Amino acid sequence: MTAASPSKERTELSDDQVEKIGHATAHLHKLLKELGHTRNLEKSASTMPDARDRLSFIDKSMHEASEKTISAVEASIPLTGHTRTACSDLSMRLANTRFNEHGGLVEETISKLGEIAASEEAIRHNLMQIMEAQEFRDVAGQMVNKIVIAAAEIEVILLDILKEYAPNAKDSLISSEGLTAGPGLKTADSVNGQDEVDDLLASLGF
Amino acid sequence: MADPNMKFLVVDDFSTMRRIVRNLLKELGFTNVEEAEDGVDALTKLRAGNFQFVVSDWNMPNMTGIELLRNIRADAALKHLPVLMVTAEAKRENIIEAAQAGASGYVVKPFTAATLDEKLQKIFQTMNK
Repeated sequence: MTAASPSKERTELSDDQVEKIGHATAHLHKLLKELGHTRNLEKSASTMPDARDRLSFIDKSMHEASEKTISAVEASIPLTGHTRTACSDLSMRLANTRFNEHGGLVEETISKLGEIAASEEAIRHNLMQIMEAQEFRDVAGQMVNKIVIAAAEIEVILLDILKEYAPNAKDSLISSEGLTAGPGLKTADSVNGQDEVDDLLASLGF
Repeated sequence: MADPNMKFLVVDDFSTMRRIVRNLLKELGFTNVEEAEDGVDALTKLRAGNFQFVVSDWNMPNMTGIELLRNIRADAALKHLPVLMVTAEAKRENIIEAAQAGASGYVVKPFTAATLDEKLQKIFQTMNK
């Protein structure tokens, strides 16, 4: 190695490993081209503008869809409430009125009003689930950002290694932290779901 | 039963998330809800006004949720506030760190209104003791 190379102590990579890194870099380059890159890999390593734009577009689309969904849910929930109130109000008034004719129809109406109210309750419950599901935006958005950052980092690292023909760069290869950290992807030290959070806290006496 | 007028501060850098938490709280009967977009914003709002409950994300710019929690616990006027962490950080070290810093509860995303309700009730019980 020349004096310009990093001072970290390095171990030898086998020809096989060098070849694998070469293939990985070529593959990455191909992928980036498929994403719309026309510039060479070295330039894209510092900018990756198109891939970023596309990911930003995905992020923006998700955001708009979620916001639209939540607005529709927010507008709908009070409607289900009004319908339920109207149903029970009408049922009560019908039940307290004496009808000389059409007694059967009145009874049927009261019964149907009850069914409508029950349906409205189910709809309200489903609307809340639609609202809760929009949480995906938070975690998915953070993951998209991490992918952009990780892709750029990996690219730089691979390029550096290739430039040096990677004689002995084992210790600096792709940081797994950049790839796996964050929500959604569990590391070995992550809990799975709320029950495990509760268990962990309970075991600590909280 | 908790006071339905209890004033909540929902802290999250993601506006969609604040909206969801606000709606879930509304579903649980709490309509007095304000929002802050990070820890710094939250501390300013908490110091200005009369909040009774904090629901905070962890990962935020300027000041994270755990830093906010430490600031709240270190502030004589705020330290008694219940703070529920609602976060995607699912690492054990995060959960332990939050508990040791004085978090009143910890909810991992994704969560439901039922989970939020359960944790709030648990905190209310502790508060009333």
